[in-house]
Amino acid sequence: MRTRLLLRIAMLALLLNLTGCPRQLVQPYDNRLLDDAETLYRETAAMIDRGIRVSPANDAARAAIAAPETHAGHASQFRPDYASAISTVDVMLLRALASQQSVSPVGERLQTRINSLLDEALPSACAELQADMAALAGPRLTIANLVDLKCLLIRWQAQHEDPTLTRQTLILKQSNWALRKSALFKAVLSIETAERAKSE
Amino acid sequence: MTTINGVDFRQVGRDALAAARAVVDDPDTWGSLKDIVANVTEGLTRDVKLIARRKDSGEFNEDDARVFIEDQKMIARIRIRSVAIVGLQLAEDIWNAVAEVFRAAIRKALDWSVL
Repeated sequence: MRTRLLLRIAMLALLLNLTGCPRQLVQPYDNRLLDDAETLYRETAAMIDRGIRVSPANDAARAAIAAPETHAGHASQFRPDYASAISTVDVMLLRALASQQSVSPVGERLQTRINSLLDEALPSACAELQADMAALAGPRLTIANLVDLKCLLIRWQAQHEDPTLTRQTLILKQSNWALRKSALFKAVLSIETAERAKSE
Repeated sequence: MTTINGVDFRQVGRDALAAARAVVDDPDTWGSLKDIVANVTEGLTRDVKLIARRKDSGEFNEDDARVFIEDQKMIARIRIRSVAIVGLQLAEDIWNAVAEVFRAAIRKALDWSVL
């Protein structure tokens, strides 16, 4: 008799727990994020295409460039493009941060755990940026993705301005640019796929 | 005794499972999840092939490989997180489908309007 009662109470408790507010495990869908992602892709792809067009094919061709500072593939020629791309991601970040809706405590815990696992296995190349953003955004996966996208763009500019990588010329090669195109496509596709999954 | 006020909770449990299964079975949901996972391996294989070709032709050296790996780590983070987002969204959909079935049943069984 008592066992049955306890069982019933336990079942009710479980049911009431289940029937609490709808569980929100991730930040809700935002279609503007998709529009912004496409804008970012277009403008960054255009920069990369230009990079491929104007850049030398190999180390020998690059070494033969007489005046690298005035070459069309020089990092200084791309500064406005990098700034614009980073600015676009900042707009996406602002939107995502401003429209942060509440996620259930379970969701927060899950997202924190996922981010910790990722940071252990694959640390960010931009530790400082990540720390700054974590203070603003907490563990939100959607925002963490945008932070990593921003990091990618920042790193690309740093690589372009790296004397070691560019053999003192601050000029990249076609292959560097081509791989960036592939990386950009994958990054934006992942972000868009994740966002679209929320709308379905 | 699983019947409360005429509501058979064993049946409610079965209905909830069916609701959850309907969410899981939805081809679009699994499609997006599978796509991301498949993409991770395909894309990397494509890149390595590209690098091998370019190394042979002298277009790609060790420093280039270094920055390539650095970029790939960042991409992997984004992709894995996207899989997690899709997974969490799926879990959320399942949870909410289950909760909805129980909510209706509890309302009927206990005459409570639950938040």
